[in-house]
Amino acid sequence: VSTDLETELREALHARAATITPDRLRRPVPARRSARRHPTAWVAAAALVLAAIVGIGFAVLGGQDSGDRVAAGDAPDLRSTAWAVTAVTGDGRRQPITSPEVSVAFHLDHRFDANDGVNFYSGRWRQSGDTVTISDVAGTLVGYGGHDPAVLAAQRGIGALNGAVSVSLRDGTLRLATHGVTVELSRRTGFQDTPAAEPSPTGSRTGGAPGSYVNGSEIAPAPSAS
Amino acid sequence: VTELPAELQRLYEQHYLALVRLAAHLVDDLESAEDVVQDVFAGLRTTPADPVRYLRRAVVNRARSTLRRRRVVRTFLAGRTRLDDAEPADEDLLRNERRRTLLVAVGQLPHRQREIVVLRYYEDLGVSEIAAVLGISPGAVSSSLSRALDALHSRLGDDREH
Repeated sequence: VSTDLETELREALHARAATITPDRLRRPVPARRSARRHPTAWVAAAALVLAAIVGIGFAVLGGQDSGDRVAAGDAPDLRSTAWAVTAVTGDGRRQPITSPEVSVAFHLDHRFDANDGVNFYSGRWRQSGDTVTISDVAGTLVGYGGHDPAVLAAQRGIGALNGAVSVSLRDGTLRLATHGVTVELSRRTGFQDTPAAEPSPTGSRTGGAPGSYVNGSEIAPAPSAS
Repeated sequence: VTELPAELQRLYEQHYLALVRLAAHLVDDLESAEDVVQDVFAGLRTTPADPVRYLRRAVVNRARSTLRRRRVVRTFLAGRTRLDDAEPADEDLLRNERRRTLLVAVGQLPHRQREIVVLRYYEDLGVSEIAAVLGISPGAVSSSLSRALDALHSRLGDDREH
């Protein structure tokens, strides 16, 4: 029972924290990149510009995902993105994940999909700044009796993605942190987001009816659930 | 904020929102939470050796002072935005009655127990880390946490019966 209560406490506290978004603050959260105050900042800025130019060059030459809306920064836009899990950290231990199956996807119509290599999960997702709230998660129930630490870590990492999740993107690595677990992910290029073929069980709450896409954009944002 | 030295400005930028969220769990209304965090940064003169731990500790201590002061000026706060009354980002989460009851129950715990519950289940700190933040022994953390969970169990049980 304590475990249940502890889980409820975590979810409740994180859910309440997720309601505190920068736009609700009296004093705006300052920009992440502060004004330059030290000469070395100029060197760093020059390096960043150079890196950006090189990055743009690769993007233009590679050209596979020119519609990429995930920008470097602390609050990436996750709409229409898919990610492969590369590591899971919990209890101070980081477990690399190499199986390409272990992944998550954030669909434009607010469907959330995840695969821990053993089971598949689906639910709803919503983003507010640097917090993603994942809800209504349901999954398959295939048992795993093995002891592969990578599989167990993948299950723990994917299993933690429920409720309020902190999200950040640094150096191309997406980090989802919740319930004492941090999941590291790398972007899957070439992800083809498609609306659900049929209304999901909670489809009436999304506001984004299947097919409501115009040039990759949602016609109307999903309304708040009531 | 703009007068802060560059190092402190960086700390502010990195931790402001997270600290406001932590403070909000301890003082209940958003405006007071912001005041708590602003006061903490206003009191900083140099970058602490362990900034995150220092800031957590300072926020917890200042939130406690705020709660003490609030007893005296409770009516003055009547117009402030309580988190429970604010429009939540995801209404269905906070409309869950059991969750709301649980948050109210956490808010009614004694200060120390409330701090420990928040640090344990929101900040995901271990017992020794909580002890370091609060400046008390790990044993005191464990016993307080146990009492807090018992109280929450009892409170939820009571509510289910009504």
